[in-house]
This record gives sequence, C-alpha cells and structure tokens, in this order.
Amino acid sequence: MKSERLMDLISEIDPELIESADIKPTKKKAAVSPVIISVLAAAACVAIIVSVGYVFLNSRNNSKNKSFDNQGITWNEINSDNKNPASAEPEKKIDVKINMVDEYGCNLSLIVNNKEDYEKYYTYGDFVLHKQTEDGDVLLTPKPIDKTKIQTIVPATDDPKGEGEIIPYIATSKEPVTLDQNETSVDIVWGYNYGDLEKGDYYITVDIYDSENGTIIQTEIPFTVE
Amino acid sequence: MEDTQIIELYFQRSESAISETDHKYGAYCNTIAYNILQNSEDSEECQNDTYLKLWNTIPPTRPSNFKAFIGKITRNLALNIYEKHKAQKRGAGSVELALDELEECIPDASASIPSEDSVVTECLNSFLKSLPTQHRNIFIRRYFYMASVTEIANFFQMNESTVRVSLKRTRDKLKVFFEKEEIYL
Repeated sequence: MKSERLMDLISEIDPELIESADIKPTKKKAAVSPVIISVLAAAACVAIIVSVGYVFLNSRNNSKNKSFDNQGITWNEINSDNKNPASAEPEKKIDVKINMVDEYGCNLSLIVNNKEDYEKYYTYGDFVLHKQTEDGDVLLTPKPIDKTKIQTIVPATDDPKGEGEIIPYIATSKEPVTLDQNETSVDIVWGYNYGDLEKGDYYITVDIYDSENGTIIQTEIPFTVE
Repeated sequence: MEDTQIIELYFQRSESAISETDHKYGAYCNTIAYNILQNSEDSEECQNDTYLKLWNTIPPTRPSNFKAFIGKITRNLALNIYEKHKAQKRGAGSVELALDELEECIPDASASIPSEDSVVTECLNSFLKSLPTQHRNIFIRRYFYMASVTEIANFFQMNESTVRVSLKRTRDKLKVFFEKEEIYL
C-alpha cells in the first residue's frame, strides 16, 4: 500500500520537528515575584485613589452638563470631553459577538480590533454545533450555512474508531473571511437547516485560527432549546 | 544526565549507557511502542530492541538529536513487529486506522513513477515546516508517535473535534502539496 511507504518515510522527517511535537504546551503564565505583586498592589491603590478623586472632581465640574432620563435609570452624557475613559481591559485582537442563537440557527459577528492583524493572521474559523447529553457531548450534523463568505463544508466521517462518536458537518472557510474596506466586523449567519432542534442543552464552538502563533482562539456559546 | 553525556557512555562502551537511556527515555520509548502495538509485553520487547539497536549503532553514529533518534528507532522497530503480527493475524488496528487516514494524502497517479525516498522526505519536511506550529505538532503526534485523537486532544488541551478537523485539513493540504510538487508514492 502506498500509505505504508508514506508511513515509513514519516520516520525520516526532521528530528527537530519530531522533538518539538513532544513538548507539552503549557498555559502562558507570567512568573510574578511577591515583590512585584506588592508593587503592583501599591500602584493599584494609588490608581484607585486618583480615580476616585478624579471622578469626584469631574462630577462636580460637569454636573451641569449631565442629565438623567425621566426613569432615573440611565443617564446621557452631554459633555463630550468625558468620553473615552481609559480601559483596564487588555485589547483583544478578535472577538465573537452573539447577535442571536436559537434552535434554527445563529447570527454571530467577528469583531476585529486591528484590521491588519486580522487579515494577516486570522485566516479561517470552524463553527461546530454540539449537543450536551447525559453521556457527554454529541456532535450534531447540521448542514450549514447561509453565508457566502463561509464556504466549505467538511463532510461527516462516520464513527471511524467505533466509539459512537460522529464527526459533524462543519462549517469552515477555506478562503479567508475578509473584511470589506472600513469594515471592522463580519457577520456570520448560520442556519442549521436541521429543522428545529429538539429540547436540550447545546453549545456552539467557534475556533478562530491564529496563523502567526499557531494557536486557536476558542469561544463557546451555550444555549438551551426549551 | 545530558544527552551528550549518555552518548559519550555509548562511545566508551559503558553498560550504564543503557540504564541511563532507560532512566531518561524509557517511558518515551514505551509510549511510542504501545501506541503502535497496543500490547504491554510487545512494547517492552520493542523497548529492549531499541536499546540493543542503539548499542549497535552508537558508535559510529553520533546523533545530533538523541531523543528524536531514539523515537525513530522505536517507531521503526514497533512497525516491524506490527508487520510480523499482522502476518500472523494479530494486532490492534491502530496502525491500520492511521494508514487508512494517510491514504487520503496520496495523489491519484497510478501510472507515474514513484519519487525517490529522499525527495519525498524533503518534500514532507518543507510541507510540515510550512504549517502553523499547532497543526504540525498534531500531525506529527498522530502519524509519527501514532497517538490516538483522544490522546492528542488531552495532550494539547483541545476538543477532539478540533483535532480531527486539524488532521483532516492537514491531510488534504498534504495531498495538494504532493500534487503540486509532482510527488508520487
């Protein structure tokens, strides 16, 4: 068989590649010494004190420019100078926003913070629907997808190892999901075309592949059909 | 002990070379052998054969990457044992499954002359180096180390479905790559 020859020749691949595949990935964890923790804690305290003072002074200065709505629930910022407060959250390069998900399909947006990074490194994604049962996960076999930008469907492989698991049809994009000019997000509309799903707990996994680092950004979207 | 020191022991014909190899790489060898043979006794036999082969090969060979060198020897010996068992109708079928999967990478060209081993290996190396790290490592763990999809998913802390998709995609890409480079098996 030709595959036997290929199997034999895989023995001869570069030793560096063989060795690197045997290194267990570790979660990136910053080694932080107690001294650094103390310094950071002190810095955080100072930042909080300064912020509280700033907000207090600002609220006094701008109180004339702020108006509450008649329910007293929200307020409208009139003074534009106070926009864009510094965010402590680290910037995510790509994010998945759920617009809608139900038994018929879902509508998701890939939100991109840096278009250049996105176009350079994030080349494709996998969208898989799972059903949770008492025995664990069962992957469903929906037939995606209504969006032209998500093009390819990988066909099911029926239970290759006899373990009762079925690989689903998976919506993937062989071609990059590109953004039009000035776009910062791309919508993905996925109709399962599976009829309506039965009652139960489900989740969708969205895997976006980062070709720069060879890593996957995974998002899980749980939902229940009642 | 450092690999270079162990290799030096082989060159000195010191029997502690074997015990040091076993201490450092025994579990590594056994895992590779077991992935292929799915049998503890056979794996142990394969592990001992690996040490004998190392003893007979070093010197004169001085491997630059000792771990990969041991891995290759173990894998080849385990595949030989597997072949013998297959002839005797024994075997666990894990290799058959991997072979079936690899069949998908073979370009359709029955009339073409098979490429030389060195050419195919070179092509494989360039292909693997062109892959994102994670996809490459998944492929190598499956088809070099012969790990199951479940083991790979646990190793890389991923979903099994993600591993299967990655393998499928890499096999498809390899086929295209072979066709483009006009490699025939």
